[in-house]
This record gives sequence, structure tokens and C-alpha cells, in this order.
Amino acid sequence: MRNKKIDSFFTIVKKDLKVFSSDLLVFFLLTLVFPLCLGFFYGLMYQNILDQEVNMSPLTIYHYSAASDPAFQAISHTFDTEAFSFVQAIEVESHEEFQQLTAKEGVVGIIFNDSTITWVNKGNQSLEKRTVQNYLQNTVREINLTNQKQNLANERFENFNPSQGSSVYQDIMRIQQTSFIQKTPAPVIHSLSSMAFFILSTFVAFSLFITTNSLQEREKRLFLRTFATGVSRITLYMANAFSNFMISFLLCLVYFLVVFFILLNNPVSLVQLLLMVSLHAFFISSFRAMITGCCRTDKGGTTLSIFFLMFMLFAGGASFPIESFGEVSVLTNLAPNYNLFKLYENLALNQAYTGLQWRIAVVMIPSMIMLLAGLAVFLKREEI
Amino acid sequence: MKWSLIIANLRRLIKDYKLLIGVFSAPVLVVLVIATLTNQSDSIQTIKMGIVNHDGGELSHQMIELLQQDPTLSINVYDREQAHSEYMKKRLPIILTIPEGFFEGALAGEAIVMNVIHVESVPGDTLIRQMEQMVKNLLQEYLVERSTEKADLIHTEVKPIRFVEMPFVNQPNGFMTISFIITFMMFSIIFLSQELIDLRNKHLLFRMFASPNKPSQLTGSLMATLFVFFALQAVILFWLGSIALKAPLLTGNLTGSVLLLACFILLNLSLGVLVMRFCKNNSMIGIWANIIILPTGIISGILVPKEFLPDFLNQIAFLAPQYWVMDGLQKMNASQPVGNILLNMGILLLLASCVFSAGIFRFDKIVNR
Repeated sequence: MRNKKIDSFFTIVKKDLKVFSSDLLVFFLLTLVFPLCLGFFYGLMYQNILDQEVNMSPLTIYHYSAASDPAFQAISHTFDTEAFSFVQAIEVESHEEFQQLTAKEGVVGIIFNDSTITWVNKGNQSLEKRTVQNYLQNTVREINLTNQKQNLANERFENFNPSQGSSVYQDIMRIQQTSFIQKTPAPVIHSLSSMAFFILSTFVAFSLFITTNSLQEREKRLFLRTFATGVSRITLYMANAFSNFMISFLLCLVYFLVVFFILLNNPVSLVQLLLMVSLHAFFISSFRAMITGCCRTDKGGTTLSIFFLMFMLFAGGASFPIESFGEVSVLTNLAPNYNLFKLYENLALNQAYTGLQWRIAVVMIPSMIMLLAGLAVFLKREEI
Repeated sequence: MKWSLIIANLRRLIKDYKLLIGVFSAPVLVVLVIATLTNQSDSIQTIKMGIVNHDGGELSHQMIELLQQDPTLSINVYDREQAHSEYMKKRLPIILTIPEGFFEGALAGEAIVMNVIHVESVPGDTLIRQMEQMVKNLLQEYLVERSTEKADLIHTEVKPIRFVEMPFVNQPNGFMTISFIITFMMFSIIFLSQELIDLRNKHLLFRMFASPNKPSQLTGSLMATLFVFFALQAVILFWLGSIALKAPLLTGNLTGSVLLLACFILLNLSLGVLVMRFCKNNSMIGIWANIIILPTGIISGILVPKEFLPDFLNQIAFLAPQYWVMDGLQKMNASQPVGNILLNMGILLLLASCVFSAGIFRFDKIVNR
């Protein structure tokens, strides 16, 4: 009797694998290639957000000087320094030429006069323009202060006694010449690249669709025929869950081997990878078992799967860099896909698994619940 | 192309309410929403910066206030651990630490400095330069303020230099609205492909092909009919987009913009023919259309702003037709002559002719599929 049950179990698994292998190419494209491409595109799209990249675009500034003060000359020279490497400053000889050049929309220019610095921006504001504008405004404050002190010193030149008066002037000059901000070496951040981040997280979400076609069989009432051959409901349900486990284990293993060892060129511990993939496959198979147990039609199963997929894409952060927008919510921490992703991330970064047991539990417990809930519903609905 | 075929197609398509809804209603709604949401003119990219203030004095608070007023920065004050944690989680690219007694020490002439750490991907040197300037101004003004010579300084003869911003009314940036319109125009690929696949599946294409009409005449007539639809779609979208944005989307050289958009519609129609070639049924069209539209949209910089894209993608932006359309429209909006977009139009027409030729190559085999 026991042997018969085991025979039936493995016969069903064998059949499921055979049926699955007949559609292998479609599954390969839908569950491996598609998430890989999507992860690649998400990676490109969110690269600058994840890498916190701020690129200063080139900014052309026309400047015309009618000023005699050499301080103005110094301002235009500042644009040649590293701090303003994004600025291309073009000196214009005459005011007419300046008017002509800055007549067009979007153009930026500066006019230096002895009494004014005029900022001309004939376009929308941008980071680059605002940075230069800030610099000019601060420079005006700086020049005014220096001029005032210089003038006062000149007025009193004849009676000037450095030991008594004008220590403020000396202090101001000292401050002018001192550097108050120092760049210190930044700590190295160990994190996944944008591409790696999305190649992992997108696949974890879309892997929900790795399944046998058991729901179609149920819809076509093929289960009833199976029961007629003496197979019990539990054997059928568990055999189907096991087939899903096998299939998802193999597909996930192929995906992660390709991703870690070829695409990301980031070899990981094989033992840990096998354990992780087993956990992942257990989650997928439990979810699919629940779908098989709860849904009578393929369409119903797809609808429920898409609902879960949406949850994983948004609440679980598979479709955007959720961690870049602050601490993740409780909902995200409870999303199995987020926890699976964090475990894979840990694996990819070769970090110790200390303190991650709760993430494993967050995947295991819902998986067990889904498997048992699916079984309960299946036993109730598929009465022989 | 034959007038009789064009008129027949036009009559048939006008009755197709699904096509009319697809071509007009959804794009109009989305463009109206986007244009309304983006009709603010000045929004700029900001750099996140954390400040750890161990000084706590009046000048340090003044400095933080000044930094918070800078529209290019998004400033938050943290304690040291928080700032470090945010930095390590890649949520804070730059941290400024003001040490204890910094401003007092600096005024007293002590060798004391603020520390800045930043990731390589932000313009750290520029920010340090700005902050350095700000610190110096604060210290110098404070010195003057508490100086016994303050009254003399105020009454000194020096006429201060003024910073003047020349007034200029910025128009709202229509980039995003134009981007959406270009994307919707590109989705017209789907409608032509659907039409052709429907005709093929109903064997109407085969019957037409059995008549003395050439493949290019058959597809050309259908394309001409849909050209009218899509031209009308473009006019409506640009018109409504301008109203919702409260600024014209097409300004300057209108003739050039119209010519450029006409070339773009031709390219989209040609792509529709090519997509039809790949698809056995209607359900596949969406996938193929997305395979063409999304990657080209991303690299062209119309779906994701250029400043958010890595450099290498910006360098290959020229491979996407949307890039040439957007570039051309920007030139025309800047009132440049039509001659300046001849290259843009040439590339779009060249692409259209190549794609169309590939689409109708051995057309008889597709008709019989």
C-alpha cells in the first residue's frame, strides 16, 4: 500500500516534469529571459538613483566685463578651476555682441560692471545654473566686505597703527586666506550595483509564475480521472507541490548560476546558493500549491498570481529602489520576496548570515501556511 | 498608393470605434494630466546633504539655515551614527561635520576645520567651494558685526556692488508633455499592425493581393489612411497639451516642427508594417511594440531624464528615433531655421524607408501565412 502511494507520487511527478519539458522554451523565455531583461532595464533606469549620481551637465556662460576692478577678472578665472569644470565660460568683447548672443532662449550670461553683477538666465532653472548663481551672490558679499575694509584702511592710512586698530581687517584677511573645510576619505560602501540589484529582485518577484500546468488539468477535470486510478487527494496535491519544487529549484538554480558566475562575475558559495535556492523553490512551490488548491480555473489562478505579483513589485520593492526612499515599512519587511532578495544580496556580497534568521523565518512560515491552506481547501473542494 | 483604396480604408476605419478610442481618448487623457501636473516652470535636481552639528552655536545654525535656503541642496541634520548609517545605505551622498567649538576656534585663529565626506558620484569639489565661501562670509560678517569699527564701516564711502538678476519670465518646461506625446505617437505602431493582421487573418489581404494592386500600394494606402488619423492625433495632443500646460508646446519655427512630426509618423507606420511581419496574432503585437518602444525611449532620454541616465546611454541616444524628433523639436522651438533639422528629418526618413522595405519584403509569403 505504502509502495503504491510512493509509486503514484513519483509517477505524477514524472508526468509533470515531462509535460513541463515540452513547453520548456516558452518557460525559459517567460520566467528567465524576461525578468533578466526587465531587471537589466530597471537597473539602467534607476542607476543614478541607486548610485546617488549627480552629473553636472556642461553649461556655457557668456560673460562681458565693463569693470575696472580686478576682482571681477578673478571671478571669471574661478570658472577654470576643478570646482567649476562643468562651466564653459566664453568672454565677449562688446556689449552688443553679448546682447546678440544672449537674445536666444535658454542662454546664460553675466555682465560685470563696477557697481553691479548682472545674471542673465533666459531659460529654466537648473542645478548648474543655480550653483553658479549662488557662487556669484556669495562672491558679491565677499567683495563688498573686502572693499569696505580696504577703504577704511586707506582712509586711515596716515594714522594707521597695526598694533592698535584694524585688527578686524587682519582677521578678515586671515579668514580669507584660511581653508575651513577638509575633505576626508569616505568609507567604502559594499552594496550591489544597480543592475545586480534589479536582476535579483525582479526575478524573485516573477519567479512566482514558475509552475506546472496542474490548474489547466484541474479545469479540464483530469484530476477526477487521476482519482479514479486510486491516487489519493493528498498524494496528488503533494506530488504536484513537489513537481513545482523540482521545476522551480532547477530554473532558479540555472538563473542564479548564470547571473552570479557569468553576468555579474561574482562567484558565490555553492553550498549557500543551493540552500538559498531550496528556500526560494519551497516558497514558489507552496504558493503554486495554494493557487492549485484554491482556484478552480487557470484564469482565476492567473488573476490571483498577478495580485500577488503587484504586491511584490510595489510593497515588496521589486520594481523600484525601495531602500533609497528611507527605511522600509513593516509591510515590505513582511513581503517574502523582499526577504528572499535580502538573503541573495547577502550571498552576493559575501556577508555573514548573522541576524538574518528572521528573514528566513519570514519566508518559511508563510510558505508553510500557504502549503497547508492550499491542501485544506483542495481536500474540501475535490471531494471524490 | 491608390485614392480608391485610401477612401475605402478611411470609410472602414471611421466606423472602428475601438481604433478611435485607442488613438484619441487614452493619449488625450494622459497628456492632459501630465501637462497639468508639469506646468510649474522651475524645478531643479537637488543633492541630498546631511549635517552633523557638534558646534551648536549661533553661527552654525545660521550656516545650516543658509544651506537650507539653497534650492540645489536638500539638507537634513543628523547625529553622527544616523548620518553614517544613512551614508552606508546609499541614501546620503554627502555629510558635513561641524566640530565642537568650530566657529569660536576659527574666530580665535585656531587651526580647526569642518569635515566633508562624499561619494564620488556627486560634485563634491563644487559643493566644498560653495560651503567654504559661505563659512568665510559668515565669519567675516560676524567679525564686522561685533567690531568697534562697525559704525565706520557702515559710513564708509564705498558703494556696494549689487547682484542683479535680469527679469525673465520662464515658460513651463513642456519636455515631459512632449515626451509623452512622442511615446503615444510611437504606440501607433500597434494600430497599423492590428489593421494589417486583421486583414491578413480575414484573408482580405490575400484577396487584395490577388487584384492588380502591388504590395506597396496595398500597405501604402492603408498607411496613408492611418497617416491622416495619426496626424490628427498629433495635432489634438499638441493643442490640448499646450492648453493644459498654459504654454505652447510648439513655438518658434512651426513649419519645421510639422515637417519633422510628419517624418516621425511615416517611420511609425513603417514600424507597424515590420511588427506585423513578426506577429502571427494580435496578442503578440503589444510585446513587439514594447520591445521597440521601451528601449529606444529609455536611451533617447524621453522616458527617463538624461541626467538620471548613465553616460554611455546618453552617448548612444542617437540610435533612437525619438532622440531625433525631440532634438529637432527643441531646435525648432528655439526658432532655428528648417535647415538645422534636415539631418533629423533625413535620418527619420531613411529609417522609415529601410524599415518599410524590410516590412514588405516578400510580402506574398506573409499574405499567405
